[in-house]
Amino acid sequence: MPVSEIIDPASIVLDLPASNKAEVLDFLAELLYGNGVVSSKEIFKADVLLRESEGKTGIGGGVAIPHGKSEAVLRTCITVARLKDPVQWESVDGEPVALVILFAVRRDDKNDYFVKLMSQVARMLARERFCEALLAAESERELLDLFMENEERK
Amino acid sequence: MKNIVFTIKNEEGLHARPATDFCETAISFASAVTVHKEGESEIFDAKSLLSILCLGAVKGDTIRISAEGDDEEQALEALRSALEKT
Repeated sequence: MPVSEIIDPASIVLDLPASNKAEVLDFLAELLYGNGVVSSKEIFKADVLLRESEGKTGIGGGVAIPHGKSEAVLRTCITVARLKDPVQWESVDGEPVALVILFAVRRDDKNDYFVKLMSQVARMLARERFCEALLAAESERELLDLFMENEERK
Repeated sequence: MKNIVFTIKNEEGLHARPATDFCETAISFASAVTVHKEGESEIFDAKSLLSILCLGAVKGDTIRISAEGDDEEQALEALRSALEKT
């Protein structure tokens, strides 16, 4: 399935004011709960934090891709938050993070599906110009359009 | 240049902790290390986490890891153990 169909347009946030990673994840879990993507904010957040403890999700260049495979997730989706100011995050280049792409994944989804979805997003993010455009987008719509324009069509 | 092939056995595929361990192991050696799926032409840098995620190796995929440099043999051995641990 194309990445752009999995991004929840209602869960794209620009210039989120947050001073640390916990605030970012808390805000996004609340947003996903409000949008009916997760059935429990707390369970979902705990599963995201569990994953965070397993390895770095900051992929460098100010971008992080946290994810939670969780029984609380009702439909698999991707949410995007651009932060007002970068926050500390465990990242491969040690730099703070300004763009958070959070994957909410249903527990029943096959592992294959998730790894392939992640691979599609990673391939987009590997293009520096795509990341720069995401960081510069002026509206939620523009950000969503960037994902639609840049996904691989097979 | 030396290389090894490895079939992914881990249910989760090469992401999260296995991907991080793999990448950090590669970084700890001086040799240049690349990885690709057998039968596919796209080659990825094993020292970049994003690149490993792009590879998107799932359970059952056979990957070929290539290393080139003074410590190429040690690097491949360490990468094999990192994958076997997961």
